[in-house]
Amino acid sequence: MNEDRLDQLFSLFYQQKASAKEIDELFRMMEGVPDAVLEALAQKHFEASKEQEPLFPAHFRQRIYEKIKVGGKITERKNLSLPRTLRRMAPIGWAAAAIAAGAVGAWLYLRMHQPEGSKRLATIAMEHQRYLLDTTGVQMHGTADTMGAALSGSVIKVAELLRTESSGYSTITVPYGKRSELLLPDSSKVWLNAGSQLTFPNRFTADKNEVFLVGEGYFEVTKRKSAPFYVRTADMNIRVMGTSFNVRAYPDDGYTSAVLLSGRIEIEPAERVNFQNIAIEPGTSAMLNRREGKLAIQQVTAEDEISWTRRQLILKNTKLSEILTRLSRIYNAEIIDEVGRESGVTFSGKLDLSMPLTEVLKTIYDSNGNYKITRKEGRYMIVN
Amino acid sequence: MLGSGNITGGDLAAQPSSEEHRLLKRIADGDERAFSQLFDHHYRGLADFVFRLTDSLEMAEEIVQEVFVKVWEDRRALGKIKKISDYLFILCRNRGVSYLRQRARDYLRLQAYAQTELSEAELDSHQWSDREQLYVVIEKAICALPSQQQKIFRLAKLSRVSHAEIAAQLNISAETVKKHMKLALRSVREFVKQHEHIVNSVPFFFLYFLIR
Repeated sequence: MNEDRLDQLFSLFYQQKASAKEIDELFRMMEGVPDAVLEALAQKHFEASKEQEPLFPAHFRQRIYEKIKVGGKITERKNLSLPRTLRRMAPIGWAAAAIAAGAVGAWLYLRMHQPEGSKRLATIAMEHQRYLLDTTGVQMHGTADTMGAALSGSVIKVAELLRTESSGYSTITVPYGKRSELLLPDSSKVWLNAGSQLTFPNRFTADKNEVFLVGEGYFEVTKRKSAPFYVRTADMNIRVMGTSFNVRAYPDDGYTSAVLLSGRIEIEPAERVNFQNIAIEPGTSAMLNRREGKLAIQQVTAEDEISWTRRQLILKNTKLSEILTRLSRIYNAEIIDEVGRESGVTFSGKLDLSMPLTEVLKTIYDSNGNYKITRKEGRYMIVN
Repeated sequence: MLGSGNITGGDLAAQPSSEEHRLLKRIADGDERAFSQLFDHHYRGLADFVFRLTDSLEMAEEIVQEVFVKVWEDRRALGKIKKISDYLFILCRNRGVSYLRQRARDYLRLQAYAQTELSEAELDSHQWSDREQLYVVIEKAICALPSQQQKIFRLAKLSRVSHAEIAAQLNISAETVKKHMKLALRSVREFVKQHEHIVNSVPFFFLYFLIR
C-alpha cells in the first residue's frame, strides 16, 4: 500500500473534491487498509480542517435535534415554562387586513401533457447545489467554465456576464447571509434571497425562457407576446406571461410556495409530483405541502411576501419557528431557541433586516423581561 | 506517516474543566436543557466531520443523531468520561469509518456484479467516458438515500440478503421492506437519470441491477 497516495486520495475525498477516477482508486485501495490507519487519517484531516468553513449546513440543526428527541425519548420538560410572553412589535398600518385562508377565485383546468425540458435544467442545477454550502460570496458557475469570479455591485447584469456564443446553462449562487439582484437578458428582474440558486440558459431565446430556482426569488418578468417564461423548482413549475411574483423553494422547508403580485401565473406540477394545474390571481398564494403533496390556495397580502427585497420582514401571524429559520438564512447564523420554536407562538409586525441580528432578535424577544440573548461562536442562544 | 489513531495521549487526556463536569452532571440527572447545550456546542463540528468523511448528508445526520441518542441513553455513566469532546469524536469517527468501508465494499461489489452480468462487448458498447464514472454515480445515488432505505437497499441489492431476512434483521415487517425498496429504487433511478449526460448512456446493466 502506498501511504502517500492513500493520504492524497483521502484528502481529496475529505474536501469533497475527488473525481470519479480518484474515488474508484480510493475505494479499491481501502480494502487492504486497517481500520486504525483510516481512523488516524480521519483524525488528522479533522484536525487540519477545523478552521475551515463547515460544509455541513447550519440550518440542519433543528432536524437532527428533533430526531434525537424522538430516538432518545426526551420528554422531560418540567423546568421549562410555556408559553412565554413576547414583546409586541411596532404596529403596522394595514393590520386590519385579515388573512382569512381558504379557496378563492382561482380556476382549474387540465392540460394534456406535462411541460418538457425541466430535466436538463434540473440536472445542471443539481450539480451546482454544493456551491450553496461552500461559497461565501455571490458566484456564477457556467458551462463555459470561465465564470468563477465573485460578483459585486448592486445589480448583476447577466447579459454582460454571458459570452455571446455560449450555449448551455449558468448558475448564480447567493450564499446564506447574502442577497442579490439580477437583470436577465430579456430585461426581467430577479431578487434572490439568502441561500438561493438560479440556473438559466446562457442564451435566452424568444420562444423559450426558463430558469430553475432553489431557495427564494422575487421575479418581475417582462411582458411577452408569444412563448411563456418558466420558473421551475424541484416540485412546482410556474408558467408566466409577464407578471411579478415570489417563489420560495428551499430544500429544507416542508413546502414550496408561489405568491402572485400582479398579472397571472399558472402553477404546474414538476415531474413526479401530482396536482392539478391552476392559475392564480394577484393577492393569492399557491403553497405545496411536500409531505402530503397537496396544493393549497390562500389569500395573502402579497406585498408582505416580498418585504425581504426591501430588507424587511413583514409578518402576520407567522410562527416563531418559521421566523427564526428565515433569519438564520438571511444572517447565516444559528439561532437557538428550543422552547420558542416549539411553542407555536406567532408574530405580527415588521422586522428591519438592515439591523444587526442581535437587534432584530431584541425586537422579537423582550430583553427587559425574562430573556437573555447570548452570542457564542457565531451562535445566538435565547435563554430565559 | 500515519499514526495509530490513538486519541488518549498528550493534552487530550487533560482533566475535564469543572464547568464541563457540572454540565455532564446535570445531563446525568436528566436535565434536557443541559443536554441541548452540550448538543449545540458539539454537533456542528461533528456533523461537518462526518459529512466530509462519508460524503453523505444523510449519514452525517444519522450518525450524529445516533451518537447523541447514545449519550442521552447512557447519561448515568457520563461521570466516567474524561473528555466529552474526545468521546463524541471517537464515536462519530468509528461510525463514519465503518460506513466509508461499507461504501467501498459495496462499490466493488457493484463493479464485480456488472462485470459478471455483462460481457466486455456490452460494457464497451456504451462508450462511457469513464467506466468508473458510471459506478460512482450509481454508488452515490445509493448514498443519497435516507438511512433506513439505504440500509435495506444495500442489504438487498449488494449483499443479496432476502427480503424476509432483512425484515427479521431490522425487526420490521416484510411489507415495510418492500415499501422501502420501492421508494429506494425510484430514487436511485431518478438520481442516475439526472446524471445521464455524464455517463452518456445508462446501460442495460443498470436496469438489470434494479429489476432483479
